[in-house]
Amino acid sequence: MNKIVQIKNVQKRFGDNIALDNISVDFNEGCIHGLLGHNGAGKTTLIRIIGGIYKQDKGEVEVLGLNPIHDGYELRKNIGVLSENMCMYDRLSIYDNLMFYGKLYNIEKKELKSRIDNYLKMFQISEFKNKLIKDCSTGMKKKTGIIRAIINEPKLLLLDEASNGLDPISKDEFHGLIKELVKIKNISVVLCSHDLGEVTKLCEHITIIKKGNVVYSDSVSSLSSNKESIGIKIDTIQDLFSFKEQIQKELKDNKIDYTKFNRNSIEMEIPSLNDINMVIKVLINYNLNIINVEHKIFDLNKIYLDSHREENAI
Amino acid sequence: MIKAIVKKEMKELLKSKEFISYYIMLIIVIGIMIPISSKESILNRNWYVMGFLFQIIASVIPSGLTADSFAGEKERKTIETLFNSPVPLIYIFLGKVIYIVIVTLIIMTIIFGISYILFIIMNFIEYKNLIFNFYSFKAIYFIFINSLIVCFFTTFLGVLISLRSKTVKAANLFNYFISMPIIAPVLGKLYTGTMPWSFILIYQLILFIGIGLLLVIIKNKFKIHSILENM
Repeated sequence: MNKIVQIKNVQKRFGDNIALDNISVDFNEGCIHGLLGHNGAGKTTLIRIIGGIYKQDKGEVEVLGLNPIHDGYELRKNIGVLSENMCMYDRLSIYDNLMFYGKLYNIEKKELKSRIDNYLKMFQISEFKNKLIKDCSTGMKKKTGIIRAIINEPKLLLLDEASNGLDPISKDEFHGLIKELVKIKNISVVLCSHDLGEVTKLCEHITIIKKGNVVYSDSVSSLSSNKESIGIKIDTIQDLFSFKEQIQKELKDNKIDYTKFNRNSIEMEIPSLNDINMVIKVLINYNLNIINVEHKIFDLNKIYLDSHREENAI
Repeated sequence: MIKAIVKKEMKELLKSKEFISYYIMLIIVIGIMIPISSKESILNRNWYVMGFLFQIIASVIPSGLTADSFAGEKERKTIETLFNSPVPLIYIFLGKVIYIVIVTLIIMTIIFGISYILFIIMNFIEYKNLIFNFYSFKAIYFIFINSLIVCFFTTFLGVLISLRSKTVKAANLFNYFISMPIIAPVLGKLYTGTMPWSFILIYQLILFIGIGLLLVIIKNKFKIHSILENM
């Protein structure tokens, strides 16, 4: 599968606060990728770096084959962004807002009017097109926001907590619209959320971020077929952070993608119990003294809740 | 793209009752009340009063709009939506500057037109003859051209301040401190009752150079990501 977004060793800090800490993740073309994490995990920062409106301190980012900072304007012609922090002009109507944003993409007037009319019909808000944004309900604003984000027929759609504030029925409708868009328009979507249910329902691939680090990244299908996978925790005497990158790479080469490093322990999800010997051999190569190996159970709910719980405990 | 931004800003302004009421009041005060109270000066062909007023209009009208230009978008959370579009920052900046200058020019023209008609009427009432040439070429040049250049400069500076400010209140505060010193030399000269051509032309040249420098600063020093990261 083609990679539409490639993020390699990206770091971003705001003063003393590390928003993204050496994060690496790829998003595939043509699917809905979920970015899950609690508040302050770094999801919005990552979305903004992908969109080219934040600049990473270190690392490489490639989106649709372009550099988001150097080729920002070119990139933004082909992406759409919808975030809960992005509002439209209150004093203008739904139609005027959409016409304005459409003109910023240099869409020809006749074509723009046709697109707006079609989308308004698709989202069932045609009769409200002359209503001022300030007089619209949250649901209508969200729908208008989605139309605004896709008016340029983007290849990549970035949704950052886009369904916040919607009631359950409207949320369901919103999810349906996203799925339909992906199907009809073949758009790739990155969906940021702190709602586990939304992400597992909508997404084909999930990445969990905690304190600017990727703690888990896998497809939902492999998760649901192995709801409880084999996990092991290995304790060592030595500090594992010194060898973190090398060990992670070696394990990835042996098809062990998910690893969680602590100072003196490493947790991982392994395909089978037969892989334990291979893992131990890798660690011994770095002259690490292993003092304990134990079996753990992996579950997406548990991973997400654990990462949230640890954050709150701090 | 610049045209779309200008059109959008105009549409929003026309829907703002507060701004419309403010401009109507300005037109009444400066277009009607002040000309009536200073009729002796004008009827004696002394254009300095109106010259004085138009320099103030040229810096005061933009100040309310410039403070809101970017800082207002930050407060209303529309700036990220705008910056996520494929429009270069300089185009957004110019769109906002042009719209503010157009609004100022329209208000100035209305005030000039109303005051001019008033002078014709007052002159007729006073001297029983119809005179149309209250202003010399120098006066017309100064009132319109100098005011336009002052307007451009204060607008450029005001929008730049708004781009850097986090709130409209902060942008407004800076605007007041900056716009008055710009027109102070001209106001001082008008007050003394002299306005030589050399002064007018040198003053305008300085403002043109200033506008050029501001454009270079905006193009090279301001990036979308640094503005949003510092919000």
